[in-house]
Amino acid sequence: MTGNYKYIDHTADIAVEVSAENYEDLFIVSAQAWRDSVVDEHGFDNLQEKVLEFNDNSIEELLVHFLSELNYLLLGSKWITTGVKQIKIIKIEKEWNLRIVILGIPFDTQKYNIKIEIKAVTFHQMDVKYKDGKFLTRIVFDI
Amino acid sequence: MKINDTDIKQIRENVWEIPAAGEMRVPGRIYISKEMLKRTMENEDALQQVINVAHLPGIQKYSLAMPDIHWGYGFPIGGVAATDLDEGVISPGGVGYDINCGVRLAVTSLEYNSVNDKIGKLITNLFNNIPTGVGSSGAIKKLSSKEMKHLLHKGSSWALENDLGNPSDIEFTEESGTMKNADPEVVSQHAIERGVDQVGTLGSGNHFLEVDVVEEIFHPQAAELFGLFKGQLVILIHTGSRGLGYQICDDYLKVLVKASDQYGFKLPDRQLACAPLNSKEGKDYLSAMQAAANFAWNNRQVIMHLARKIFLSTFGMKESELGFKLIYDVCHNIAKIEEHNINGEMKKVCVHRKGATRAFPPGSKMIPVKYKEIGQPVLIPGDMGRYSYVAVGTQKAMEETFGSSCHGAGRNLSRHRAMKEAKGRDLVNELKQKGIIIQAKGYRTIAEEMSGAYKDVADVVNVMHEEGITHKVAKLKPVGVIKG
Repeated sequence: MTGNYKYIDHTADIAVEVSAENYEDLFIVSAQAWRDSVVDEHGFDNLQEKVLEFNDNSIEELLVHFLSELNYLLLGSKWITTGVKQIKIIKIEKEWNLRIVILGIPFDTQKYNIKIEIKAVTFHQMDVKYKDGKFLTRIVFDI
Repeated sequence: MKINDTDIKQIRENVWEIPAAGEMRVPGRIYISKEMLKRTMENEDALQQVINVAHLPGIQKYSLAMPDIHWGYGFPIGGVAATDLDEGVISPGGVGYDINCGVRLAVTSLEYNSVNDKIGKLITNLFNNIPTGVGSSGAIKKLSSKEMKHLLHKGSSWALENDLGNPSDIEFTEESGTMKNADPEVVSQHAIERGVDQVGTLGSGNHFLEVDVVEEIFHPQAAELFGLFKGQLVILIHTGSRGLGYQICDDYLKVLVKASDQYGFKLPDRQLACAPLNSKEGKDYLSAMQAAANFAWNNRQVIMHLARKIFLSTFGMKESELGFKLIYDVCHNIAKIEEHNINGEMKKVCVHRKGATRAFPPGSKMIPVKYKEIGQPVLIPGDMGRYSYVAVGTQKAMEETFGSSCHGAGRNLSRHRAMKEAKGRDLVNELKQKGIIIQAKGYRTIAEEMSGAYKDVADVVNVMHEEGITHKVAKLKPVGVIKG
């Protein structure tokens, strides 16, 4: 996996800028930015797998859809995503498809702490662009 | 002053207009002082968002903004827009993620001076019994999905069915705490799961429960009718529909982003995604949003009921001695079908209020009978170190702002900047020196939400007062706060 992210200042919420060499890595790094924002780093073990699949009309909708699902899994299903085992993004005609195998564990709120509740992953300023050999986007989390 | 090469015209002392240009369907109108307008233009793109909202299909008269305008997702916070029921749209960006975030004011018959030595104990008891903070849960038993759906239908009445309130609580809640057309069947299982254990919880961020003292009365007649007197101990609750509402907004934004493409809407911001009010997508969102609104009213009802019991036990009083009564509960993030005068003709429209409070006038059929001669209470919280206001709606609000007013102070500093400013300071002690006891889940929240991170709410309230949109009734000063 290649790529990185950095936090940028935002009046009320959390904003990150993500860059990676391909779409798949852009999604993996974005997931890492989301996770680092909500929980502290832990050595999670006994990992489980979940398969997610989404179809959307744009790469931005696909990214919001994916990150929103991770957020729901934590806050609704109490299950934290710790990493990605497999990922494939394809575009067929006008439709973008994501198939991803994520790793994670049930989130024990007695044992671990949620740092910040992300209400939602927003579309604000999200615009996936290719520049100087890298895919770039900004993601704003509403908190 | 100019925005994007367009002159902003001054209409009155505190009223400014952005003329319709390009694809704007109506002009923008902002209620704000010159000083505040300058600051808004320096720091944010909120005025551009007023322009963006003016692009919505079927928007009526103006894209409006209240003086607490600041940047939001899609609509600015403080944004108000009404859309035509036949040709117009509904947009989750005009409601916000925290559907029916709102404020509830209850009073006691106690004078602060007679109980001030017990406020510390009161705040500890409130903090220990009302869940606060990130993902807070467990105020009452976790509900089954079936019970949640029943709650989403019933709103505040659910609390009554479960011995968590009195009939008069319902009477003094906007919409009596229930929107009748709420449909739990269009609420996702994801949303249900995020809400099942959050009934009666405050959450995090800017949500709070405050014990206040009435510091100043501006409008004696309204104050008397509302049951407010100087020196009185009151309680202010600010929260919304919690994870359930966030998830409903999130779910429907995805649906409406696709619908906007399908209906061929050219929108300047994806967060303004919308669908015709008479389309399946639009109707489903409205029904789901109403279900979230019902959850929020019930949430504030349960929190208030828990607080009432804690007041009784802490002060060792009977209900008749405590005199704990709900004055009003009003939301500031919602879309509602209401009748308004549109260019001389009364017609039904969908009023989006995003960080704006309904402010109906004397005589309105939509407010409690008790308040008919004076108008609807408008509750405007400030920050935890200064003050909050009670105001009252006017006929002018009906004529100019679709019966809407401001909702709060608005942030001055980013959370990150606030954290920096708080470094090395003892904010808990600073508040204590001002006579305010605070209990919160973590110091981070206290730092992010510190008084200096917010604008002065008095500036906001005064604009609405001077323009006759709402009249000031009373100023409340916090003496105790619990936060997430």
